[in-house]
Amino acid sequence: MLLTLWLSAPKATGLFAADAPVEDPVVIARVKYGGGGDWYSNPSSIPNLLGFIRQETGIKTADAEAVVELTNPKLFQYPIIYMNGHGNISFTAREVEILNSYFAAGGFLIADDNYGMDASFRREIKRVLPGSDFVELPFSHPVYSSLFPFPYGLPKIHEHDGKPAQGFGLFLDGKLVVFYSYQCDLGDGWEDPDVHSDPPEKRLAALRMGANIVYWRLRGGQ
Amino acid sequence: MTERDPKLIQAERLLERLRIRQLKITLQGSLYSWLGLLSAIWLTLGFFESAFRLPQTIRFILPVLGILLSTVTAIIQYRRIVGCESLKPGDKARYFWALRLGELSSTRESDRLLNALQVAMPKAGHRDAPSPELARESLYRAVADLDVIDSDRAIYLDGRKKEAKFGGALILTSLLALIFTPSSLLPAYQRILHPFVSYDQTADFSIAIEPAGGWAYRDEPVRFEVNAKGSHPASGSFFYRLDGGDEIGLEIDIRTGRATVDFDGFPADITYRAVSGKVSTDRYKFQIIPRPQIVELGWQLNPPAYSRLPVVSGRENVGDIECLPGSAVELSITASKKLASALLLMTRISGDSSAVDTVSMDVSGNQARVEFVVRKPLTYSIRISDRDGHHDKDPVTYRIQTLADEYPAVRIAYPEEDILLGDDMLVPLRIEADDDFGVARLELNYRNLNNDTDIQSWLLSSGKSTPGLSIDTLWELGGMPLMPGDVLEYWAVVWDNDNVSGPKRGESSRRMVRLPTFEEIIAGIEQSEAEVEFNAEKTLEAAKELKEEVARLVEEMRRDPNADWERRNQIEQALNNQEQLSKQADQLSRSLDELVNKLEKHDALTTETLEKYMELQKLMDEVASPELRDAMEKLKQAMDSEDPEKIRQALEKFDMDREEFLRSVERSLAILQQLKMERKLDELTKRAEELLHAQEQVLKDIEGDRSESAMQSLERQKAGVEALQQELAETGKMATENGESALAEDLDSLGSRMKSMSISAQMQQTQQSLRSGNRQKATSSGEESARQLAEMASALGKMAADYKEQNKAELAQKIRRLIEELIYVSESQEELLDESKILGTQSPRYRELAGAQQDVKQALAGIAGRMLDLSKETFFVTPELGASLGKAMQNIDRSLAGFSERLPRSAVQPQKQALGEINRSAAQLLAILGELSGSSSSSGYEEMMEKLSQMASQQQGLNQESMSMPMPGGGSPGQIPGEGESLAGMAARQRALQRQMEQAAEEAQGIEEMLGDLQGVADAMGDVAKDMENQQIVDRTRRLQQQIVSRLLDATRAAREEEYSKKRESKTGEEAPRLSPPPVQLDAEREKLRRDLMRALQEGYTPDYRRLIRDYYDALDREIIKK
Repeated sequence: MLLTLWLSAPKATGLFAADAPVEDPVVIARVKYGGGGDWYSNPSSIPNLLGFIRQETGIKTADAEAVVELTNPKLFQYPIIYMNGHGNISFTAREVEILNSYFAAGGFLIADDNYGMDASFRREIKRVLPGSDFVELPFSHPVYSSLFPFPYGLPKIHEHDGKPAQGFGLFLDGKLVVFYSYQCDLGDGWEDPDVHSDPPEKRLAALRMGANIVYWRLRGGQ
Repeated sequence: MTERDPKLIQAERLLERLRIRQLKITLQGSLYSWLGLLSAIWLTLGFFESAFRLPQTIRFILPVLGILLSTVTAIIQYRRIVGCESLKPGDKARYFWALRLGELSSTRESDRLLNALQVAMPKAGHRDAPSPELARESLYRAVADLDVIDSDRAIYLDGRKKEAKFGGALILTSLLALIFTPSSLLPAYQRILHPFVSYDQTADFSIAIEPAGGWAYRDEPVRFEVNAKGSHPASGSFFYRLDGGDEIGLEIDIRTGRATVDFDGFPADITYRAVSGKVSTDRYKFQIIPRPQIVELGWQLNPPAYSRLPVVSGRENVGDIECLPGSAVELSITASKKLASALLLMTRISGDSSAVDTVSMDVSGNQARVEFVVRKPLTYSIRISDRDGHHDKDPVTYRIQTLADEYPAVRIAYPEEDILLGDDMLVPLRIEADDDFGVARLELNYRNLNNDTDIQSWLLSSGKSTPGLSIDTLWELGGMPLMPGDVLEYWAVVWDNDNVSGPKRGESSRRMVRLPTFEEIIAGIEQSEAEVEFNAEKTLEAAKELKEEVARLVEEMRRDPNADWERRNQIEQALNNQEQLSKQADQLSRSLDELVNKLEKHDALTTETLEKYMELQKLMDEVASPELRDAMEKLKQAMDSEDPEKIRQALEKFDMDREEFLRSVERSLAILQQLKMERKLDELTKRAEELLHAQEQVLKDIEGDRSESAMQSLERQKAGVEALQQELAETGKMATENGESALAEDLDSLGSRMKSMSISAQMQQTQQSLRSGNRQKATSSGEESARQLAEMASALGKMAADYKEQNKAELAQKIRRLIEELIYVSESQEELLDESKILGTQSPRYRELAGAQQDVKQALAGIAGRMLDLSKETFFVTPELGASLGKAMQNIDRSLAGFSERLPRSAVQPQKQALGEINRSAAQLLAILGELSGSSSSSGYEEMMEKLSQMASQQQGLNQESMSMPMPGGGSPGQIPGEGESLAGMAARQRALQRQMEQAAEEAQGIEEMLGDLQGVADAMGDVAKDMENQQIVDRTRRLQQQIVSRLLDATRAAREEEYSKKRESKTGEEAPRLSPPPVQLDAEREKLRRDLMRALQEGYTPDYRRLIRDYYDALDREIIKK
């Protein structure tokens, strides 16, 4: 199934389309960033999301997440990376350069505001893609309907400031390279049920939305 | 003469033959030997001369020596032959050969032969010697008797062979020496043969050219190499002559003993030589051969049929081609020579690979042709060979570029954003698709996101193939099981007509249409209404301020007619302010129009209330009257004229019309505030009805054992009940503020009753019963809730109706009172008139009657004031109604003047006119009263609505049937085989509908403005029926059908009020819905650019231009991406 997906991805380009080991299970790599923020938060979230994707789509996914620093050459082996946290994020000049190359090569970042990382994340990502501004994605964007429909955009998982949940995108050469969920906290929703004791429907909505993003990206969405 | 013995003759001949044969062999051997010696002699002499270059004085020795030696050797050879007895004719030779034969024979025969020889050759002086004849005969007999007749064995061969070999070897050696050292030997022999010629003794070198003769291709580079040996000079010359022209010399540097002369090429044969000092090489000839070459190349391009592009012929000798994949190319060439073969070498341009395909062309004489189909971009060249084996050099490589058949594009041009679905359940769509070579199929895909249903499709166009396609249609969603809050995601999908590589597909961006919940509709309406009210109040306030200002200006102008700068400035300012106010009024009118549209679209009010809002909107439209604009214009003109009197008059007129403006705004605002209450009561009724229907659904869920769904619904129901209670309280408060205490009390009472019903508690109980699995109890409490809600809905409906009825009754009462007053005044005026008629000029009653007339006037002024107040409460009483009263009062003034002048006729005539105007006003009020007291259906409007509604329903049924007809050819409407009977039936029904519509159009005379062009609808029905009768359902038919329904629904919108609750069963989501952010601009810009490109490519430019256009757009696209 994964092989089929990769091969049938009509727009998969760049490093990942050519070199990714198609027979390997899909893995999401968590970015270990500097600056003091808790890059490690929501530890059960990615394994749960990968399991949910496997269960819902039949796509072969890894059981566990990978952890990667931006300076690690292995970064380019992961088509999708993920970062979240509550605190400060800081990229070195080298990391900025590498992350820019990663995006140029077709890489995709899911950033999830875990309440507190918004300001520093926006600041740092601006250094990576200085020519791009965050654009709120319309609800008609396929990321909201690739697997499960979300007619009103991102589900509101946790309250935070009480603002509506918003899904922002950063584009590079017309391609979406960063999906940033703000005031939503998908990661909390992906965690084990007893961590936040969210209602089952909230947790399901978070997992479905996460699966949407990953599935859309795996299908070559840009 | 005696005959000789044949045997003897034979022997004689044998011996002679042996002699001759030996002679020949000996001559041959001697000749070879002599020639060999001759070669050796002259070769030796040549080398000698070459080596020593004998001077002219003694060089003659060499030829003399050569001739001498040649002669001596010849003589030696001659003497060898001549001196040999066995070779001479005669008996001696015969005896020799006989003896030779005897040596080869047996002993006995040999002895006999020797005896015969002895006889034949007796010793000298022997006296018994036989005669020569006898001796010969004896010998011949002996020879004849020999057994050995193989004469060949007798011949001496060995020595001769050696001589020949020796001679041959010498000749060969000489020839080889001559061949390999021609440059030294040949000049030497020349000098030997010309012993007395003086040769330059200093030319002790030689030069040579490589190649010495040969051939080359025309106009291709040729290199000559001049080699010098010996003590050669440092330079020399290379001479060549082109095809009989002058000889051209080039200086060459031969210091190194070697020089090269390069030529780019020669057009024709040349001769050439090299010279250095007095030494020259021979003159050689170089042949120039033309290669075969292509002198004419042509092609014909047959694009694939789907593209509908014409056949294109290539320009002469321009082999680059740009074509669509699937195009057939016919390539032909004409060569300069007759051809043996022609090969087409094609190299595909695909990434790094460069696979070469070779195709043999059909050759005929000097022409060749080939045909092939282009699938991918490629380069090609043609290699030709002539019949002498020469081939062309560096064949030109041409390029075949495949045109990108762009992906088709489609966009939803309307709606431009996500929308809320109106009560008509129609979405007007405009879908635009385009493709560079043709759109083949267009569909609308959609799915209900809330139900996660499968994607469904609606075929919009198929079978045609046009580059651009724009479809306007109405998407009817009435037949879909949509619930309030449901979201339909929809997008257009288009396929192009590329049947070579398969149709390409394009999708539009996705839009959403949402069926709003009741809460959303009400919230939207309230917001619009608040905006309108706020703006109206603001306008009114500004208008009042302006009123004071203008009144002050008028007063000042009356006191002092001079219009100084300051006053003029103030008037101009007032004009500007009024201009601003007029604009505000226009804006207000538009806002009200939007509000009315919302009310109408969402069917949020009763017909009666909605009509009032529409009237209000119309009223607002007329606030800035043409009279006011005219007055403003005249005031401006008066200002320009600078005539104070004119300015004063114009200002007074402006003041009057502006007063009218103020009254209109006041009236509009007053009516709006009054309507607000009616709308609020309607809304409360709707809320209660919504809750009731939702409760009925809960009961169905309980009955169907869908407890989970019922529980969730009950949760929402409880919130709804609370919201209704709150709204009741707020509306009551509003009524109190408006001074409508009775209504406030009723609302308060109803609120208390609702509280006492404890509907929420009942619902809570239902939930608990459901949790405990007691369905019976749940049903019981649920039914109780439904009953209570029905009671509430009924009570609220009744309250709203009573309120309106009460308002109407109060209004009617006020009008009746006005009429009564008018009738009383009319009677008074009539009495006055009667009395005035009999008044003489000297009558003492003038004063008395004038006083009575003044009373009438005052009474009329009071009535006019009350009528004006009344006009603020209702649309029925318009300020214009006061015009008749105004005229009456003017006539009364004239009458009073007549009384004061004691001119009975001058008083009576205006009195008559005043009476007429008073009566006219009363009649108008009576008519209004009749209109008001009669129900709205008394005009027939409601009945007409009902009729149109039924017809719309029937038309929808027909539309559905025609939509479900099988479409031949994958969906393209057209002639439908086997459906004739069904179509005939449909046609008959359509005709019947047409007749009904024509009748309705006749009946609707008088209210056409409200209903629209019903006759036009009837005509459209006729067109559809005609298509059906012809068994031709085409796109136009379907569009017409949709238009018919749309127009009928427009006309009957009000009549479908009751459908509201049926379509909108409450089911709200947990997430607070908000409108989608706009589409990402980046994509929109690129999409627009892409559409522009499509249009440009369809303009029919040449391939070169098309490429340029594409490059240009690519550059723009990159710019956008960069941005």
